[in-house]
Amino acid sequence: MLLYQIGSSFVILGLFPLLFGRGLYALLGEQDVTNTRSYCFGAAASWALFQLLAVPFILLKASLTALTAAYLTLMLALFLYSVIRCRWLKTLFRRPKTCSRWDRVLLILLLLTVLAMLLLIVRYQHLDDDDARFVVTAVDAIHTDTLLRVNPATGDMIDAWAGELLRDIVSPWSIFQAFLSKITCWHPAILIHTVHPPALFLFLVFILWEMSAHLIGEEIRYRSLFCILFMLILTFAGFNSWSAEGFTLLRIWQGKAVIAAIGIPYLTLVLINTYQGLSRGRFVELLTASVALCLPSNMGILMALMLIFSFGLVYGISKKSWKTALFLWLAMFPAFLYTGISLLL
Amino acid sequence: MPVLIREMIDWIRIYYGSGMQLFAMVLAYLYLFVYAKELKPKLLYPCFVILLLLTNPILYRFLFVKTRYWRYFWLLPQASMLAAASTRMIQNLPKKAEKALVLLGISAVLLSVGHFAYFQTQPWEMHFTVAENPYKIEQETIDICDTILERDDDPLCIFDFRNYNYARQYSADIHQFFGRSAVAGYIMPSSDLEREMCRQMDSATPDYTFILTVALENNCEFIITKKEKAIPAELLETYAFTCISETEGHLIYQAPAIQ
Repeated sequence: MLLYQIGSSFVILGLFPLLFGRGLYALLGEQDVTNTRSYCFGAAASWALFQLLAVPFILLKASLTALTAAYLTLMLALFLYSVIRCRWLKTLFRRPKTCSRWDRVLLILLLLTVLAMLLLIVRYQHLDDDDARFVVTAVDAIHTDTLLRVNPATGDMIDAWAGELLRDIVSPWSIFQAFLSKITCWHPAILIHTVHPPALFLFLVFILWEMSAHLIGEEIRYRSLFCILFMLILTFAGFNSWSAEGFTLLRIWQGKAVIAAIGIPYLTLVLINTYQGLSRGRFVELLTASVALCLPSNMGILMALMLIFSFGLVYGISKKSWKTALFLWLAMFPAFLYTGISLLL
Repeated sequence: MPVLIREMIDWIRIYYGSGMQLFAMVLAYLYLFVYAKELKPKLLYPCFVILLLLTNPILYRFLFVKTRYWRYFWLLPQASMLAAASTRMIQNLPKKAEKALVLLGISAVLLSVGHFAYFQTQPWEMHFTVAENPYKIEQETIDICDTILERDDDPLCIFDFRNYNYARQYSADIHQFFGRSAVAGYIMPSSDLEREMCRQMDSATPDYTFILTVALENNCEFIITKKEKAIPAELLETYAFTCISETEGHLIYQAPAIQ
């Protein structure tokens, strides 16, 4: 059983986002993408698809099993379609670029730093009272095979949603974690506190790596240095519990921390990519990121709106093209949709 | 308007904590503004627009104040900009020796002025401990839950402070008379009785006559208290509760008459 749990976690949190991302890029006609970029897009697309499915399933009071079956079917169907249609599997393994000695040294140092961070994340714990809702919602979903039908505080079944649960309908991050727990057979508390955080941190590292190409340039040694310095600053700079960095370290498994640690940087990265040039692929990436940001937390919805609006405005002015701004602003539509749903509830 | 602006400034002060962090962040942005011109339209100007939106009193009054205002400052990256500015500074130096010196200097500043987050014990909200189990719930809470579940696979319990936030993370079989919802509007609305029970259990001197009466009336089979707030023996006898077990810091009481 432990073998299955570890293996399935590796597949669903590690391998599948990478392959799914490559497949989606192949469908969009983009072949020359890095594995880190593929992972980021694959993971974001997984979140976005879950968000699109889960909200109606919750409102229809369906079971967790039904949602799991529908989601897995959709993901696998899309993945297989990409493999059959685009035959991209042959391009999966590519010869890595040649590196100089210092590039290799810094890369190894980066890998060691990441490994150290992952070990710290697994070994240490931070007890947070907010988990009385986030983790318990996932535990109840697994236990009763329902979606947000149990009061996490008492364990009683509820007829109508109220209070903070209304937010969870539109941003069902706990249900996503319940899905992961169901598939991997980990107890939800173990998955949420111990198994998922290292995967989320790796997602952050991949985003940083991709971001470094824009912030630093293409030299591998400096990109590695950027990532290492980020992790040093994160752990040593004494950020308080209010900051994005504090939330990343303290409670990366919680939806709002996912927004701070991953959602905002990823959407920022995707927006910066659109500055290079607009295309169908870039728009799909942007739309995916916009939907994905709605899954972890209600705050992600408004933050997505602010990010896309700000970047769209500046890019439109910079390129002297309102078409550019409008193109970007179209990606605000999912956030408006979920805002509307949450106002109606 | 001045009141709103004062509120916003207070929140910004709380968010950025020490002035050093804000100062370092502003320096980083300025460095990139001057030495990384290609980032201006791509990233720096959009961050400036976000800053204008965040410091707009009208948006604060009608939008941000309804949610947690300080969280929107997550939109302005800190650590990544500090890392980018530091890396660019090193990258721009011509000689290897200078690069190494600056890198050592930055690392030395971080290690000496900062502190390793995982070894921090104060304040509580930044506190890390070594995980006792893969659930990352206190082992004592798990032990309490296991003891209860051995005796009843569907118990209704009254927990003390903090355990009522953690017990159900371990097992959904455990039901609680009240949980975090009885504290200041979290999760879902709760009844007056739940809130009063929570208040009593959290109190330094709980009214156990009230607690035990409500427990029996509502078929609550188990009550868990801290050892220093043990239920007096005469009340246990009156209400037919018995102490069935104890852990390092807690006592577990059961009313055997409840099925």
